[in-house]
Amino acid sequence: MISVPVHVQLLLASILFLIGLVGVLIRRNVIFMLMSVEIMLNAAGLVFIIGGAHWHQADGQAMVIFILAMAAAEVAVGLALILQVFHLHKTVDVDCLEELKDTQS
Amino acid sequence: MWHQQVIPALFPQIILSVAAVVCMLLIAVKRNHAVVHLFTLLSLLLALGSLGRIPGVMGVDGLFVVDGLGVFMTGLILITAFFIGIFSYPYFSQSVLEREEYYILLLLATLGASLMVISNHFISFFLSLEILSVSLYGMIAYTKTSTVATEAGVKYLMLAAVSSAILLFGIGLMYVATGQLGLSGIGRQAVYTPTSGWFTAGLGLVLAGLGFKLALVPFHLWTPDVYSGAPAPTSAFVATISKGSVFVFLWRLFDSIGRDERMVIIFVVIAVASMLIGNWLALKQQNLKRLLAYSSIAHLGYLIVAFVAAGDRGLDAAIFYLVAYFISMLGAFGLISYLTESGKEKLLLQDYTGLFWQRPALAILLSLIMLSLAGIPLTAGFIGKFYVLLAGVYSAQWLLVMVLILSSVIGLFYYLRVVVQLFSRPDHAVYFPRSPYAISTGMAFLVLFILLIWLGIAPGNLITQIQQVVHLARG
Repeated sequence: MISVPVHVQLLLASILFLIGLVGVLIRRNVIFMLMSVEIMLNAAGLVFIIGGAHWHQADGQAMVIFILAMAAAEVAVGLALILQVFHLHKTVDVDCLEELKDTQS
Repeated sequence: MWHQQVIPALFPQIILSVAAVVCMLLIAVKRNHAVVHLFTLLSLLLALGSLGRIPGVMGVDGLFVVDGLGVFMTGLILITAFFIGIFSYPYFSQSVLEREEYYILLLLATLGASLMVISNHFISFFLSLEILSVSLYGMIAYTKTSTVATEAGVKYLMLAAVSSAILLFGIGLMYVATGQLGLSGIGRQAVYTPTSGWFTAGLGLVLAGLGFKLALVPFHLWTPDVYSGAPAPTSAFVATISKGSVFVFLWRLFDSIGRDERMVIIFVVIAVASMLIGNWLALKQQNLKRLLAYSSIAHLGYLIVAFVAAGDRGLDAAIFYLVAYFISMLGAFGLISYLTESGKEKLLLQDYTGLFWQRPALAILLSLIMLSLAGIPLTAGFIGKFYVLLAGVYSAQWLLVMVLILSSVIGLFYYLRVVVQLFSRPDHAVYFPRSPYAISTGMAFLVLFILLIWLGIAPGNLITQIQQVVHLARG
């Protein structure tokens, strides 16, 4: 079995995480932003898998199950909210959500 | 250790989870706003009654620790949720939407917060945080036909999800570095092994994630939008319970891994930035809810001063400050929800012009709250700020002490602007509605009013209580 050093594994997770973060920052479509957040969450899950494998513990894998469950709950509420946004604004572009901002006189 | 005493120690949390399910069933049988409302209040009281007969510090499988700090904060959270429940009734009776489900979300969010204050492990912390946040998404966007509430909901959803992901990634890195998920385990590792780069990176990410939830500068940008878009009772929840519980976890985390030099510098920078920027941005606000949002950013900055001071004295100051801050914010958002007319909140300061000449009692309460937030003597806010200042002086954090005093002076200006607005004569006839459900809300206002004055004049009782709690927290 080829063993990959922990640093390289963490590097992979970090790259995934950054891809997600950049996605959230540059995408203006709420659905794509939610997908990018999912990538970030899964990158975090990968880190826990790496930790679990490194320390020979089940804790990391248990945490991944929790992350998956939580991500599903978050997406369920998120998609419901996005549906409502589409209903009210006829678009899912975040730049069209601009009613709330500082109005200084 | 898993023995007989564990179940009674977790009674409040168990009662809250059962209450949320029963509440759902009640709605399924028959929709009745008053019944669901009363049930929610009763279950919160029941949870409060089941609290506090715990002999000492008790760990639950390493996941939770029921100590004095946890019990005190759970009590504070339950009482705050009780007040928010009272304020929700008149607010949602005017709305045409289905309003009963709000109370399920309120119970669940309270459950999440009360679990977080006893969390002693990253898994329990993460789960309680998500129970709290996911319920909050629903509570913020609850008035679903309102464009601003939906917008606030989406903004909070995206930022909270991103901050959760950042937090998780940080926890993961700390786990890889130490092999521990429990706070005490991580603490032991952090002391005995030289900290690796991954550990430091993980801690930084965790700090960023917690900073988002606490709305500290530079992670504060969501606060004013969410506060002003969300229904007023929800804003009260986000401003008080959600921040207080995360703050307690922050305290537990740094108590176990220790506050080293670099960390203290980071926190000093965050505190200074929060105090100055929060107060500065509030100066020109015309919108009362946004003003309160910026003011809450500044108040969290003051709390971080107590956090940096650390030790028993710092914890004393932080808890007292939290109590005073909770009372003031509850009163302010309670008043906003009480004065809401057919689903339309009075947001602008000029909407409140001449409140004194129509409803003197409400105007006096709101002025007292503003004075307490500003930290004027004879109010609870003054004693809280005094204690924080004292903690800062004893730990010789002179920069923080100077900035605290300076920014309090800046803050005084905009708080007084609100008070002046209340007492000035309106140029045109104004009308403030009399809500038909005024009795319970009026009682709640009266209690908050008495507490603000009482804690300002005779804080001794609460302070001894808190000192006992802190003593118990150390075992």
